[in-house]
Amino acid sequence: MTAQQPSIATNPAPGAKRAKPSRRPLIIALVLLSTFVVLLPAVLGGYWMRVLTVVFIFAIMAESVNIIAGYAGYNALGNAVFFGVGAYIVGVTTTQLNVPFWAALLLAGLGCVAYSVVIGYPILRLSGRYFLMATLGLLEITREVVLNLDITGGAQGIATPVMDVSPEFANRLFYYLALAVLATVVWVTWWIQRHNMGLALRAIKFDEEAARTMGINSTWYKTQAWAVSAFFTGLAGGVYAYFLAYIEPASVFEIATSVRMYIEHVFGGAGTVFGPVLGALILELLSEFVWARFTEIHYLILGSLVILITLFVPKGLISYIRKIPVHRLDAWVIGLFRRDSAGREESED
Amino acid sequence: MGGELMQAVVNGLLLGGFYAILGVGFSLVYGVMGIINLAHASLVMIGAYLTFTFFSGWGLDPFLSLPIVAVVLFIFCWLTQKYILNSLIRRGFLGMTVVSTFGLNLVLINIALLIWSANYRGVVTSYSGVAFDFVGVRLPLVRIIILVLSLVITYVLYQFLKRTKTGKAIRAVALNRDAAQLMGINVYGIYSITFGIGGALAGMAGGLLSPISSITPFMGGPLLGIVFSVAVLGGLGNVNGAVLAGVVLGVAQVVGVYFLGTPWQLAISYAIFILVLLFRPQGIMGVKFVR
Amino acid sequence: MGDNILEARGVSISFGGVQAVKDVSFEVPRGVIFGIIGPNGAGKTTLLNGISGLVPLSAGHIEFEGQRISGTKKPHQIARLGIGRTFQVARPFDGLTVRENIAVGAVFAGKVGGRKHAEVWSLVDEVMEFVGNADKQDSLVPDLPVAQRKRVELGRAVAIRPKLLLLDEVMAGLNQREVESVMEMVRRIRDRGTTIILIEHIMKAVMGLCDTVMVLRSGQRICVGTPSMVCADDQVIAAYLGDRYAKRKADIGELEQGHAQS
Repeated sequence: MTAQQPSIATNPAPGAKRAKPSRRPLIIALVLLSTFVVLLPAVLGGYWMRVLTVVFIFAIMAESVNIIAGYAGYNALGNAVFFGVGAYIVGVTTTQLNVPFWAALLLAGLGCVAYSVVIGYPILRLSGRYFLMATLGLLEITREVVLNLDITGGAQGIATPVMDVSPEFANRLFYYLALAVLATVVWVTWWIQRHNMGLALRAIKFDEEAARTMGINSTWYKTQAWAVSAFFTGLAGGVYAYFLAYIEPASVFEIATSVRMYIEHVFGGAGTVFGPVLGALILELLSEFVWARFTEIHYLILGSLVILITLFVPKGLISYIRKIPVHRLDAWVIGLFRRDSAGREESED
Repeated sequence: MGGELMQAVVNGLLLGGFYAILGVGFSLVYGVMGIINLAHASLVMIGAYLTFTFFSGWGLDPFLSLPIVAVVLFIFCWLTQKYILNSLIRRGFLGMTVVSTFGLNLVLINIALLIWSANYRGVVTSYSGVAFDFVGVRLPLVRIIILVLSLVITYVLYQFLKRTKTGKAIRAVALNRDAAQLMGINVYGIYSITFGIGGALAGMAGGLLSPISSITPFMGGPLLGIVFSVAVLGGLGNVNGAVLAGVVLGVAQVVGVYFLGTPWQLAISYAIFILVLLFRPQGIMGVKFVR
Repeated sequence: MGDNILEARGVSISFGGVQAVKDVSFEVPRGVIFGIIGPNGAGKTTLLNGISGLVPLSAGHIEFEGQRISGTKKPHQIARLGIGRTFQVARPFDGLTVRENIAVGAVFAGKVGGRKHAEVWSLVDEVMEFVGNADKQDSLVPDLPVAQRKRVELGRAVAIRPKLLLLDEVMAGLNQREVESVMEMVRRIRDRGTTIILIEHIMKAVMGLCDTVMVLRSGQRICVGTPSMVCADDQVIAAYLGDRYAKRKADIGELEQGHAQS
């Protein structure tokens, strides 16, 4: 059996004992899920569509932080800074500079890339705990600066232009927009995992010094990873700015938001392609439910849930779901998108 | 003009001592165990509320209730470390402790909301308005007491770490956990005690804060920046450093506000925080405990 | 000059206030197995770290194939020039499988990946055969015993197809049979055209493998030469067994000479 298009992530040698997993179940599942999600707006009311849109936005951010934290091992607990910056870029350019929304959105993403590259230059040199705290500090100080500038409207925030369309149309627009960005970031993650960059990031996570002696330019890869992460988080912020039609520093530069997306990626499975999406889905829907039913004690429930999650699911859902190590599931997932397996079954299933 | 600046500097100094005690508990926990306690500021809040309760319920002077608050929070945090955080560390998930403490933070805020509601509370003693005039500078009595007590508590902590058996054990664990274990020290027990002390210090900071600040369940948020800054600026685990850092931050913040205006208050502490992290992550006095 | 793959002149390295390497100079001709021995703390690993670019030199310079690498090249660039290494305490990538570990070496410093993927994997397989890991392809590193971990690390470095390979106590903790097996591997690596610098404590390996041996003590070079020369050197004996023993040996030597004469 010869390889037609081998991937860097996995590739069993010819004649290896390792069985090829059948890809059919997952492909079917993904197709069904995608169809379901795409058709959902036809049956959902406005409230749930809006809820799901927010869920998608968090999923985008969880996937994004996954790239710098889950893969590269640089735990950017303050990654929501890009959410805020993205939201404000859209807010300011659409109101003050009359930039059309789509262009503003792109600017938001690119602006965040620039911010992450510039600030990453000093900050990515910091090790583990210090990097984490630096990102938190970055989030806080960016908020304070935005709060005090005139162009951003200060504490009063910015009301973004309301589009001249019906509410139903707007709901669907944002739903599909968020979904599209989510699909893109998932695809990008999958691509990274499949190519050299994924291998480099994981090597960096496990032992950066050894990785460097193996020829990996860790600065380059870390910067790239954070830039990608910032781009999509910025897009999420930009979408949110229009979606909510109002932004203010306190709500878009929140530590709570930042920690939430971090927890979600860990809960779902750090360093996997689909884990963060799963984590975001479950936790956001859960928190929405809890807030609706138990408003007075929702912090209590959520906080306790978070503690329980860390105690019982510290490795992430995906690894428990299949009872195989996280990286293997990923490898399995990727293997599914490759050449035909001639139907050999995955023995561990 | 010079008089106002002087006043600002003096206010900064008075504030600085307090900042030291606000941050030293966090610094200790981070320095000894590597745990970033995102609930630290909420523990301060709980301390403030407990002080308020003792004051409004039993008329107990806020400064006199400090020991009680310290004990209550010590026990609470000792238990938390013992049953939750230690479990994570044992299994190799130290990184998850920050997430856990975030959850704890939410729980504490909600508990405060339920017990004391969101209304602003305050502690106003009979001597709250007393102030001295010294070469044209106004020195409120309450703030002087806060400063003095902060320094006393920090001094006691320093001596505790330096001279007592437990204190030395804590330092040993911070320096080299494995070696300490080989020497027969119960590392996880020390972790629990350390977290307990961190909580007690936070609680006392809250008690000290109660006469000069309005108390709400969400008061922890703005404090976290100062906590981070004191810890990083002073060097993680470094008690002396925390004092120096607190003073520097206090003065910098007040003087900064004097020149730039109040809105920049928090930005200044975060700016210092980031600059220190970038240029001297080990703090002005260096990390006392090697992590 | 052109014969030497590596030249070090007046190299000094200090960190933490300690001078770990003091004014060390040496040359490594192409194709040899160059041993570095010395008591613990002599600065051997630090010297290797200096070559790899992981620590800066406080004095002196290091040239690789005539090109200066100290102070001018970053670790990943040095690796890409063709210098591979292992670490004293084996550090294979914990969360990657054995195959992935070795692929890292091939893809990045080995510059194979990116264009010819099939080449990467056939190289990986080849390396795994070579180091004896062929049956453990998909194992996660933490599941493996120490000897296997060392092989994974070795494989990872070999996959670079380096011109110069730095081995730091690669045989430590192995039993007799494993030592012999690794020795054989080292010879084969050399035969394929790789120059090797070997830090080792196991004398059997040093004597059996090295063409030249350099001895470090307290950061200084005290002797360099063939293995037998080095082992007879008084300073070296003093370094390992203490000055008193060396003196006694010298005394005994004189005594025997005296006996022989009388």
